[in-house]
Amino acid sequence: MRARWRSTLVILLAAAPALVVLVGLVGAWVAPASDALQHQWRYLLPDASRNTIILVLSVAVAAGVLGTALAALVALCDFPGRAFFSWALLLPLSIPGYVLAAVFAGSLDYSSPLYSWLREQWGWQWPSIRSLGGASFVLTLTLFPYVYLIARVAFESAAERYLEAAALLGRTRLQAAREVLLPLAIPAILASSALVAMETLADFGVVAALNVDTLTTALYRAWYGMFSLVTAQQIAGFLVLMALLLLLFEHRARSVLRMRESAGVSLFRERLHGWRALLATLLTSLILGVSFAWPVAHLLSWASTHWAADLDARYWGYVLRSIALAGIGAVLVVSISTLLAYARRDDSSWVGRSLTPLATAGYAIPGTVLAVGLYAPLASAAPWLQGTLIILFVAYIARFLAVGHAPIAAGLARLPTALDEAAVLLGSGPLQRWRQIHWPLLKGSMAAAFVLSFVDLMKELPITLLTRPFGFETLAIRVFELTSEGEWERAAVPALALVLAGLWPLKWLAGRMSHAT
Amino acid sequence: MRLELKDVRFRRDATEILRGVDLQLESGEIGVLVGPSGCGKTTTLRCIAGLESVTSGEIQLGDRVVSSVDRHIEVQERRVGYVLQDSALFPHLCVADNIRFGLRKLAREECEVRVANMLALLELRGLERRMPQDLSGGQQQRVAIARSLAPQPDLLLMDEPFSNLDARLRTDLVSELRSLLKTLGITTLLVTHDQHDAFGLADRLGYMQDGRLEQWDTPYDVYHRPRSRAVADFIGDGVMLPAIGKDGFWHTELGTIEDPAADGSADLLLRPDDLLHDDDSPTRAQIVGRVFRGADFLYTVQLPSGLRVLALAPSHHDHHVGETLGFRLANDHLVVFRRD
Amino acid sequence: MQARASNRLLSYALAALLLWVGIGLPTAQASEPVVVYSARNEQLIKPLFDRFTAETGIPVRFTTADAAVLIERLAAEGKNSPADMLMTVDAGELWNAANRGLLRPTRSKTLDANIPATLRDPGNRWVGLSQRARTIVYHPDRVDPRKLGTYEDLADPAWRGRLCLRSSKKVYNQSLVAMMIKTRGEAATEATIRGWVANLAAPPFANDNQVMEAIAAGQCDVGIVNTYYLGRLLQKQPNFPVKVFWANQRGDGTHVNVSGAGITRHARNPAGAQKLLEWLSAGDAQRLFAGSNMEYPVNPTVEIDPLVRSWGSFTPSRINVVEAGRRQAAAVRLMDRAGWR
Repeated sequence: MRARWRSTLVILLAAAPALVVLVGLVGAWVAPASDALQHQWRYLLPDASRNTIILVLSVAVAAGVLGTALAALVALCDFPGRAFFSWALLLPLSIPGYVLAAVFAGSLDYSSPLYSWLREQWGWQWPSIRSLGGASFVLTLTLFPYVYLIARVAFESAAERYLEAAALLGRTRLQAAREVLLPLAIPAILASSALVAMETLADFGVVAALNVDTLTTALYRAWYGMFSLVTAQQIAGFLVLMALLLLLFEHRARSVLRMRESAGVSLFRERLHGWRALLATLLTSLILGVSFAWPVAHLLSWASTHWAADLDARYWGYVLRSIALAGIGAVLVVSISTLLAYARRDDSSWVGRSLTPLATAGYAIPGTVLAVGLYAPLASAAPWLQGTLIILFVAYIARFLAVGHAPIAAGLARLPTALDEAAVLLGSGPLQRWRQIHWPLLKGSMAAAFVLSFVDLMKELPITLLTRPFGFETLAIRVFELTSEGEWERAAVPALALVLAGLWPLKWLAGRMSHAT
Repeated sequence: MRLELKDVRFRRDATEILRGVDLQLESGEIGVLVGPSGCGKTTTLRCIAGLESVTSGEIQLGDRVVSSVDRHIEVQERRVGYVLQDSALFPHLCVADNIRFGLRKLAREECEVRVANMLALLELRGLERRMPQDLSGGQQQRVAIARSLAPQPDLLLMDEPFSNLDARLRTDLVSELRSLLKTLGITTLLVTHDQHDAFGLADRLGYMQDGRLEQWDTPYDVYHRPRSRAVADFIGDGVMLPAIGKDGFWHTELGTIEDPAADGSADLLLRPDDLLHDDDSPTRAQIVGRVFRGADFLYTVQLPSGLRVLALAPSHHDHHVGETLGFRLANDHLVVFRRD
Repeated sequence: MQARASNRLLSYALAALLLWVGIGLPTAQASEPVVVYSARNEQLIKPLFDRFTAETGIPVRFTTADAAVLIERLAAEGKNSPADMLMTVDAGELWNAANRGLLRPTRSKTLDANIPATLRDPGNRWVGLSQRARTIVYHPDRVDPRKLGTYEDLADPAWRGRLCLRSSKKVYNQSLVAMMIKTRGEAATEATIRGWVANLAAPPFANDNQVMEAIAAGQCDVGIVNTYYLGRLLQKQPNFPVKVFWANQRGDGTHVNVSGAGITRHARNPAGAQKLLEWLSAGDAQRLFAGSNMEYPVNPTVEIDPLVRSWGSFTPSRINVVEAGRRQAAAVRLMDRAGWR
């Protein structure tokens, strides 16, 4: 009884930052309906909602399929370059979505040199990247690594003996992967696809760069164009509602598939030979090429004329601050996500059940709305917080808890409760139990949570922008400063630095993760 | 179907795990492999199943060579059932679906009949829709066996099928399993570390050590005619009694035994039932330990030289630790290990 | 073992503290600093602030973000706000901030003298510091400039499939339409916008550069952009095939917006802020403020950047830019109705 009470308290504390924001959004709905909203209902919201739903579903499905396929390939097969791809496939995450969108708009649109050349030489035509389909394409390319990473951890922690059992019952390795490993990884795939869906819901950068009307662009139109923050908050309320529906759906799907595994000898990878190995390497290279190498090459060509002028000693400061903020933020997010996941496991009361999705719903709120929604009440309630990093980290937690929670909750769901019971019977305390039983089995998921929140925080902009102390600049802020007036060539320098600064921690963590599994 | 292994060797990295295993199991027989952990029992099963490829030698199933240096029939084409050590039931499938998993080539009706038969045979009726994590250890093991038997394999392999069960369940399942396998007439090779399970099940018993099959015989012969000290040590209780051979007799602390071949120094295997309590015997020994086993007592007695041996006595012979009694040898056959 | 762990903890804490102090606290200041919340980029304002500090000894601290966000921040901080000045790149936001009571009136003869009345708040709560002209650009090979005249002319069916526009989400288009509503009324403006939308050669672009690149690539022939974007393109590619046409010269003048600033209601150092504002409105500072981004100075006595001068002189709109803010919301609604995405 007492333990449950404690769990409820933990959930409440973890949810508190997001709740502050959500209460504000609810407050906006209680306010009398603004005629800005009525106007939007009439002219914008029907199309915007339709686009948002199509975008969210198409990106979640496409990223889900792409991420799962790559995860299965890397986890189950050995082919030339596998070790490199296993971490390099995370790299697309390090490019902010709006930068990727600008690169694709710049390199694939009508006026781009490539399109112009192909058009003039061969008469080639293709649909504009500045469209719903284009936005879906770009978002898929930047978000599939979420699914890839979380699904890979699930595949790698599945035991070899399931594959053996399936082989003994007449299945080839491929059939066994589809019939046994895939169902086992489904909770992880669903959780990560939900994460992708939430990020897509909140995206403004990509859709703005490709001029696609969605709920977020409608939201900014009301706020920036019609000076109605209340309308913007009401639309953000829609987004949260959609996110909660998504989470509900994901939770339902997961509870139908509830299953627990025990640990075992982990998979051995099947070595691919001949054309199959070649195909695996080529396809993976192609995806990495389109989602990372090509954009980076494009950024390099933009930066080539400016790096000499812009790159100076200040960049060390930007890099250090970016890494420090992202590192500290990710540690906070992972720790609180872990506490939340455990508390939720112990507390199945309605409080725990309803607060957990609310705690993670912040991921579906556009960063700027969330930043203002948190800054305003905190700064007026506790003025001494202004100009400190406390508000910044609280806002990080409000927004990014979902990123940490999804992989950890999926990992925890795979642990059999029998393990706990056995350990309790052996008289081990909670901390010892955690260190000896859960940590070894959960560290892969926790590393995944850390990598994802770290990379997300590296490129985080609106919260850092609003709540940073004076003169505090990061790489993401440099990119913003330069792109806000359209200076894309110059912005390529900090954008590349952002990729490079994220590269080293990614590689390092990927190394640690493969030891962990 | 008949199983034969000819000089099977298996190497992983630099370690030779199997160093030449020879074994024959006739159709319908139950073979059991015992031995200390790490001796290669499980690897032998894995090679037979096709989960590992042999480094050299040959595995023959019926008249078909399934494994050799240049031939490896894939696991899924061997028609071998394998009950893995921890059952490895698919956690996302219910009991019936787990059993059905290996039957996808059958027509629907036939498949349902087969599943129903298996549920009946292993007394799993009523549990069809349960998920594996909701079953007890014994039930999980039954489902695993049902799943392996359902496709009617030519050969059934079982790796420590009783290791997760408590003692009573274990005894029950051992006898049930033997009659089940005999009813189905299925050739079975089973690995266990428990010799009681082994004696209860085996038509043929093998003892493995360091990647070799030291002996492959009937359980009776393995017990009474162990071919090496290691086998003798591992199978049944027993003590080595030092002896000197002279003039057609073995001379020991417990008396002399006739043996035309007696010569030089050797150790004689002394089973507990080879030593009888006899108050008339000139050989006296002190009881230093006793275990009441219901029908009999197992005494540990210390000879004047300090050597401790085991003796079996009916349970109405109730003696106490510290008493000194007379003992005599009563072996009807002799197991001699010469010292070189 | 334990000692080592606590040592490590101590060094982490120390590092965190250093980081905190290094970024959180200002270094000792000679005189009271001026604190600016700026929506204008760091690279455009920092050189000016540095120079101001060097000349006057008054340090300037600033932070940047979107104007709408900075306004919410000012409103939330209220009396506790450290900000003395709000700087934006658009008159609409200044109007909005003034309208919400976040700016204070400043009476200054210097500002009155340096900045034309149409580029200042009638209530003296903010002033424009540079002009951003938004006008017609065209491809010289495919368009005869004699056929060009007004923004409204581009609604003519003659331009069907030849016009490129930026998204209506950008405030520059919103203020252009707001000013058209002011001069012509809603109905006429809506008809014009519908004509524009009907004439579009491609869906609206995300920025002015893309509009001009589309013109250069032949996707369309005319567009409406802020001139400084063309200036930047020309710096890189002097032969970039897009030319400026000054719109509405026979009528109400070319649309200009301002980048400007105002002093906050709860400013702690209003005197310093006023000094900064006055300094920015005159002389070299004024030349730099506009010139660094190839915009037009507000102070008519200040020299214009040579490249910018090469586009010729133009008559700007004679209506006070405050109208752009006042009618911005109406303009957004109108563009929604007309289907300008």
